[in-house]
Amino acid sequence: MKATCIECYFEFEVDDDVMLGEIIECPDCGTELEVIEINDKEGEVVLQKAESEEEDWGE
Amino acid sequence: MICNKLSWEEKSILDAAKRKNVKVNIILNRTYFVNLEEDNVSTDIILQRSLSYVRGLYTTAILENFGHHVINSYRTSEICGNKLLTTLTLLKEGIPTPKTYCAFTKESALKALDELGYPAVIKPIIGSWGRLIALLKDQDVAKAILEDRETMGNIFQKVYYLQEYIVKRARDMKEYLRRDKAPRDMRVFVIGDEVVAAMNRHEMEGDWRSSATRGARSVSCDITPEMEELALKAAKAVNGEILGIDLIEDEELMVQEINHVSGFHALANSTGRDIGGRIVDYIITQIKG
Repeated sequence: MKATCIECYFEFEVDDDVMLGEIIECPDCGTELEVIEINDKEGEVVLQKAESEEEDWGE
Repeated sequence: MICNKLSWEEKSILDAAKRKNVKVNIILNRTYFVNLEEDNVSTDIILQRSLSYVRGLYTTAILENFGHHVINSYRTSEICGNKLLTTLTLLKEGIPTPKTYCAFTKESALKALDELGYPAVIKPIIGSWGRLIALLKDQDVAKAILEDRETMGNIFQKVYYLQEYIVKRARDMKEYLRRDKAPRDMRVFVIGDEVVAAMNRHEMEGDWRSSATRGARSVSCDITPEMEELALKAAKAVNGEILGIDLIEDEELMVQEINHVSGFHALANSTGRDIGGRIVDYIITQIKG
């Protein structure tokens, strides 16, 4: 599957079993990206910048 | 499963579910919305894995109201996500926990600290990963930190939760390896009525907090009968199903904190246990039950 970083526009490959909501780090600029759409037909995934940590995040 | 994102833990649960032929639907809390009169989730059981306390708590409230079995429950999440409510619950059940004071103004907090003694620790009642926890070495530091808190917009930062500082005898690996004193900060993972794994946590040099998120080193440890008894008692006190319980030892073993959406990456790595698999096994028993 092909992906493009929305920050630096670097194009890279991701695993075919990638899932919606999965967090991927751009191999070029290191931005954390979230998978928001998987387009099997085109062999592409759509990414957006991952949500940043909020005050109430934790585990 | 409801979550903010698919972190290592969620992927481990999904992998286990796939191995055990359990179908899992993922609800990203960011995209969830609902008419409060109409349930739009169809499932046997819901595992709450939201990193966001607020989103997790309220999605659980909504889904429980529709009659779903959510793990952990709203009441468990409310107690465990709030350090003040956790301490009150532990005290009510007679479970040992560090000595804690609560105050609502800077002036009363300083009086409370005079009684509690220095050094002490101030913690936000809501929040994790060691965020905004401060070690109050003396009154000057306390005044500065409390002044900071007073200017913060978040109303919960003005509930001053002040706790005795438990000095760990074995503060790092070098000391631990000398074996003169056991390390005294442990994470114990409870699923149902069973303790499935435990680890010691050694804080990094230059940081007194021992959260794995802060880089603390995790080492697998034996589950002693004392640890097991205390962890299960704490789990029962909050009526929890899947919990990460933090224990700390001073003169006696105490419960420091209970996590209702507990991370287990460091624990799985250090113990080699398939915690994701154990979670799925437990969920299957709850569906069948």
